[in-house]
Amino acid sequence: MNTAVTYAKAVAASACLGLLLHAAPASAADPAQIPTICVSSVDANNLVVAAHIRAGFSSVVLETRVDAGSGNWTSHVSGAVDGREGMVVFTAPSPGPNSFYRIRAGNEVSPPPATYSGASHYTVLYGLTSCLFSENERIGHVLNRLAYGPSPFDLQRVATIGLEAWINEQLNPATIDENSNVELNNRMAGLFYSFLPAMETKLVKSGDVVRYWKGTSEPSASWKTQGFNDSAWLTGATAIGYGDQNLMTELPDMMNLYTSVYLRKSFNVANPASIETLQLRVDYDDGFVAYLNGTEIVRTNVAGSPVFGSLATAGHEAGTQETWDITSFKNLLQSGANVLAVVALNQTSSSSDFNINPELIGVQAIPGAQAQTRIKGVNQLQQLVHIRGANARRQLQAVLGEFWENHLTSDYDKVRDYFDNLMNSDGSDAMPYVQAEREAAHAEYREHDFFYQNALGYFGDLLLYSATSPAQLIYLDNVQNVKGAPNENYAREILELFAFGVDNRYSQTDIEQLARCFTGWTVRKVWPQDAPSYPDSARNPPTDVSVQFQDSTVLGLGAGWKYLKGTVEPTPVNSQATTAWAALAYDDASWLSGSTPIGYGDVGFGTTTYYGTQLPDMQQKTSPVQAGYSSVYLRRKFTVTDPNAVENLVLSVQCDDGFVAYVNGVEVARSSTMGPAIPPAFDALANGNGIEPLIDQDFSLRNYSYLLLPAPFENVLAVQLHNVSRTSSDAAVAPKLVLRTALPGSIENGDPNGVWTFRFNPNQHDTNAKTLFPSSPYQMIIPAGRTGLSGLLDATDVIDAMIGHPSTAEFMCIKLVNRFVSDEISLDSYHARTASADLLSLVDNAIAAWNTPVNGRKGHLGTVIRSVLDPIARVNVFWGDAGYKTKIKTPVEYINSTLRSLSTLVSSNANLPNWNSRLGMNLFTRDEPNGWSELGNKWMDSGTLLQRIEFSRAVGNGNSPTGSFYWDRAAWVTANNLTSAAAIVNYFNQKFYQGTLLPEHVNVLVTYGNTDTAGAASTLNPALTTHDARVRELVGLILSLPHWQYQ
Amino acid sequence: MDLTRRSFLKSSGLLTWGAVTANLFTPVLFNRNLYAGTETNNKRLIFVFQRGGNDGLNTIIPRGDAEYNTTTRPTLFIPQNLAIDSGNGFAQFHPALQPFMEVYNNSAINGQAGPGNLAVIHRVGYSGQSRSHFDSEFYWETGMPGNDTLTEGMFYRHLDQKLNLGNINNPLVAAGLSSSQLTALKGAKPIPNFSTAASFNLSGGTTTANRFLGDVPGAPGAPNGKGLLGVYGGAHDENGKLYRSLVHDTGKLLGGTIDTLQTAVNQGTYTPSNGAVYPNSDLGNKLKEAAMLLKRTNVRVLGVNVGGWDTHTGQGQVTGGHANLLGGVANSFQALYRDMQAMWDDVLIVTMTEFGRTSFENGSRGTDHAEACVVLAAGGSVNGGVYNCDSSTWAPNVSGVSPMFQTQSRYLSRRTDYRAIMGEIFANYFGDGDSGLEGIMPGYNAAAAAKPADFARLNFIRTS
Repeated sequence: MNTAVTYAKAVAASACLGLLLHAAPASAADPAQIPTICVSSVDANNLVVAAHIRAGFSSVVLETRVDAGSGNWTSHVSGAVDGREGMVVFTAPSPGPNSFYRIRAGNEVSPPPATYSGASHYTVLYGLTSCLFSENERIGHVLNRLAYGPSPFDLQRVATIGLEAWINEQLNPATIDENSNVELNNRMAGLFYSFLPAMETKLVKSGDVVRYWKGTSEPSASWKTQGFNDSAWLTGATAIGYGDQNLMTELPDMMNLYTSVYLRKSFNVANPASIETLQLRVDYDDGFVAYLNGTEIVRTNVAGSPVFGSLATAGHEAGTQETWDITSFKNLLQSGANVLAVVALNQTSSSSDFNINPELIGVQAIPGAQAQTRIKGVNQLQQLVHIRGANARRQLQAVLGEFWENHLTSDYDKVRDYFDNLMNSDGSDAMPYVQAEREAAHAEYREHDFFYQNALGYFGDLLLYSATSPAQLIYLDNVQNVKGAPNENYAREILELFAFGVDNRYSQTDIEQLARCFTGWTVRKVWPQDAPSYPDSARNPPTDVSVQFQDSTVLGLGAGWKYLKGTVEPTPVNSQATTAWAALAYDDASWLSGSTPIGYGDVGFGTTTYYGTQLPDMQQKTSPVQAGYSSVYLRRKFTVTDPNAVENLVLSVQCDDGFVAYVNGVEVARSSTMGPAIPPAFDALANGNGIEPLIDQDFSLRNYSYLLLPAPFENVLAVQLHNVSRTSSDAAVAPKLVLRTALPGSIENGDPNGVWTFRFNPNQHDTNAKTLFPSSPYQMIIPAGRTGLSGLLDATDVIDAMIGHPSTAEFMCIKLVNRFVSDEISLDSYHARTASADLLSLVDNAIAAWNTPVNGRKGHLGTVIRSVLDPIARVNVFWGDAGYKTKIKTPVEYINSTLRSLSTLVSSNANLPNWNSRLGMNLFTRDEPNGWSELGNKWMDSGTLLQRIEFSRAVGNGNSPTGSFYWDRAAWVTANNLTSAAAIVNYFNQKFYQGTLLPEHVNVLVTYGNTDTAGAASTLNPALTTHDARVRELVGLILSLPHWQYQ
Repeated sequence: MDLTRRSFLKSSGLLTWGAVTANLFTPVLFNRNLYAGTETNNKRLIFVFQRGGNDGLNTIIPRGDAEYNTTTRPTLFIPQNLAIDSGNGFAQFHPALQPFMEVYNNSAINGQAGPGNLAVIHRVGYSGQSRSHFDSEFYWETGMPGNDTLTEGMFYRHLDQKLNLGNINNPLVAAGLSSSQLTALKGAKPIPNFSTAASFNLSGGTTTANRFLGDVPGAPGAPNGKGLLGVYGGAHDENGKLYRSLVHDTGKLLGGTIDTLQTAVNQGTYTPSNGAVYPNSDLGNKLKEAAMLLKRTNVRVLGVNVGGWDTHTGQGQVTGGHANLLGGVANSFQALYRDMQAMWDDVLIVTMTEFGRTSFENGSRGTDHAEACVVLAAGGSVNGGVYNCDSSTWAPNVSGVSPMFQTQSRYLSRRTDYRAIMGEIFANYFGDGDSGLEGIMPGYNAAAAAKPADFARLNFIRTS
């Protein structure tokens, strides 16, 4: 009998597993025939041993005994092999403490009798040939793949509890204590702010008409008091100034003539006690002092007591409002009449601009509203990935949180622009840019946080949450997806990129059918207390709009209009167009009388009965010859009982192609299709097509109510309509003026208290039948007639079914294998079975795990990932040498692993997101929906390698506690007993490179460390402060090596 | 001749290799005219990849096709009087392309005085067109439709055939002007990429940076290797493992690339010639940088991305997002044309985009992914004019269906394979000849034999 040599190992119920006892071989045989024990794992209950068996044997046995030196070996587990090479895995009850085992391979016809045999105790993986690496390498490998690289903390943690236990706790992150992780918690806290929902009342607002006094002389000393008579002062709406954007009152004479402007705004407060917080918000250039009822409340860039010729003490540009909390002055408010007085100063008389625009705001908490934690901005959200990555103990959860964010990617920039372009119900801009940035960042944060919290949960939840996340709905245009005109963007990408993989058992027809399933999916704002949480947010969303309002008509469609065909300029001066025709006083008696809508042609929504007045002569024609004209001028008088009560006056216009509207001669609205000329000449053309079919475009006149005169005086609305071309097939305009009132329970798009949520709009849902994946076992027939909220099921049924579809299992398991194990398998090489056998079998096993229901549901990610990691037997390809250090770190992995190696302290101004971008990876702002690649060749090019090296150098050079990066060289050198360049190199080689640096590399590094800044040989003494820079440069070089690119 | 760095240095009469690398930042040492390999031609090329899929029908408008109207494109339709006539009585340019006309005009083409150096080529695609951004971009850049595993770009293969890319004296034969490398320039031997040449440098003082960068060893493991290059240029380990050569070669290339680029940058602030003004946009700035590099280095191929073409919503018409994108391209081309007059015959700029867009406007005032698209090519070697968009080639099929709807009733049909366009550039501009095409775009010969009409030469490159 040819029996191969065996090794023996100690078996103990505690941590000494894996210790090789150098027991003498049982018999002398060819060393090449010796079985190699690759992995052993033991606890009080179970013993698992994997051993590599060479070719040429027919039986294998694991034997045990209780003492190293004496006693007989007992056959513990045995089984057959078929002569091929492979890995044998023994699984049996532990023989108990202080026992030993050995493996023998032989060629008995049948396996020797043993206590345990059979498939549950004895399995063979033929063809698995490479033996697994050393324990040190295994630790490095696991920390590189499951964590963002080794850190002193996690190296110690693994040494304390063992690798298997470390993996197990990572797979159950809730068992890991983060409360005591001070660095993590402190840094996380800086990323968020607490938002308390509150109602704002604008006592004085931008656009209000105020009284103002040009500072060419000093007004009466009492000018700031409530009783002052300001009737001799000028009137104008804010903002007031010159040389800036968006001024309502221009001061063309101010430059080089006067430097100060005084203004007063009277306002009424019914119940001062109801105001809890008082704020002054001012956009200004360059300084001002503000007074409430004669008492100074705020000053900025003003010294002493300003008089009319004073100058601001520093410059400041307008553009972003600044807010002061003046609650301490609240008791200055009186019931009834109050006055806000402001003196604003320019920095120099010849300054290119000046601007003053104050707002006074009373804030009241909303009863019962809870404070919300909100992310400060997208930069903080990007930082979150680095902070968790570098500092969290729940490393695998942090890795997966980033992985899912990247897989189910959405783009902050697009979400921000969407919010920024929104309007409130009255046609006013819903929110300033800074608010759009905050709301978009928070939408992205909520999405990312769900992925992070559910990183090891069910893929079905991640996919459905993503589909119904406002950030995703906006990013891939489902908010635009309406019946009759579906937008295919999201339907395509959920198949191609998020679940099935490109061309993996779906067709263009499936995309079109699925796009129709998604019709009516959109977003809305809700009060925080009304925001449903998942899964209700996805499966029982609101169906109504966020704002319901009612209009009362001030000026409706119909008769009463005077109009002039644009064959001539109505009121030219020196042949130039003017707006004199739009003024209240203009005599339009010679104009034609007509009704709105007015225009000609097929306007794309019905019949010509639409028109109140038709203009068949407007279109240029060749047969019969007709010159036509490009424009029409309209005027209509109207009355308003009390202009002071007019809060929400809205101009609502249907128009094809462009228009400008005026109230009492002042331009108040202009379509985006109309060029910038003021005013457009009679023969001007619109520079774009109007929206067809015609819909109401709303323009808020909130800031123009000051133009209105009270009844019995009349006002005039004047409009000039321009065609895009004189030969165009149509042109029309239909203006209305309405007073719009939001109904109770509504929330405006711009309300900062609200949060965004998924909304299903049944009115825009295509209720016809759809068929997906026809002629396959997974065919889905979506029935027609799902009305109301049940129409939501069209798409949610498909998303739910996708989890059980083989394409999703394949695509996601391969992507996880790409992330954790190897780049060398793809959907194509999996289908063609051309990937290596061990990777194919790894993916097959992962798919089997995907399809094993956990609590009745497939696609449980913790189960899939556990099958990929094989933490107990450790014999699959994850543990094989062929894949060891063969993935290239992505930028975020590179940055986080570099920070971890030195336990670097990172200051909040280190701007890690900018570094990540320089390395080629913008988190949360990637344009393309395919996410950043998991494959290494996408990340290695000379431009980004240079940036990687620069990052490592910046971290290495982090010598100041107040700098971007900091690690304490002296403490580090002492703690790790690093007395030479060689010791530093060896420290990194053992801890962070697992001893894999080549001797040539070590030599280069040691030589570099022992070279002074002039390039001369000089032995490094790491303890010397004078060698601090040299130590840091050496560390920067060690963290720039080729091997630092691998994980 | 395949010069190694060592033999080059010997032949240059320099004494030792250590002395050389210690002076890495002096311009003398890397001979920027040296291109080991078989290359003799001095032609340069800039490719501009329009990421997202440009709407060809609103770029070069098939005015002669009645299907281009306000029914198929209610808000996108561009009226005839606002568009620019091409001169062939059929096609019109989007009005935002006005700056193109300076390059396009020619008495024989549209009766206007000009060089006639802009070719606009409509209906370009490939059989089995993918409407996935990522696949189709990949196919366009690798030159192999349908092959997802190929990891070399077509320009990389062209360069690799001609030049010894592994030679560290060739640190800048091509570059991607992008923070990450373009697929068309990717391959086993790294080609550099950067957003700006000035940024391609190590921080810190020259002494510190040079010491950190160090020297490539004379032979793997030789003791004269120092610093970063001593490791990257030294021994590889664990042979057979993925990415080892890629990482080492990328690092080894850094030194020469830094030297070449900083030498170019140090010639001073770049002032375009002939009063050319590049638009102050990402594309304009990239092309200005490209022009600087074409003049100051021997770089052969430069790649640039321009994003934003995925116009699913609110695409715009005479003005708007798409018009702004087109205007940006046209302005940049015009500036490059003026700036590069001195070497205009040796410059070619060509656009690529992964697909065109649906002939029907969608419900969001935009267009969705489709198939055939428009390629624009300008340069002194270009026979200008409109290709594939004239009354003879833009014909209804036997069922009377316009080309705009001949593919699946939704998409503009293809008339020319993109590999025929790129093939003409490689064969006739770069002088690779027809025999070189199979190596640059593997599978080219079989594809051309299978669909000869798709591969018929348009002759937009002047051969003289």
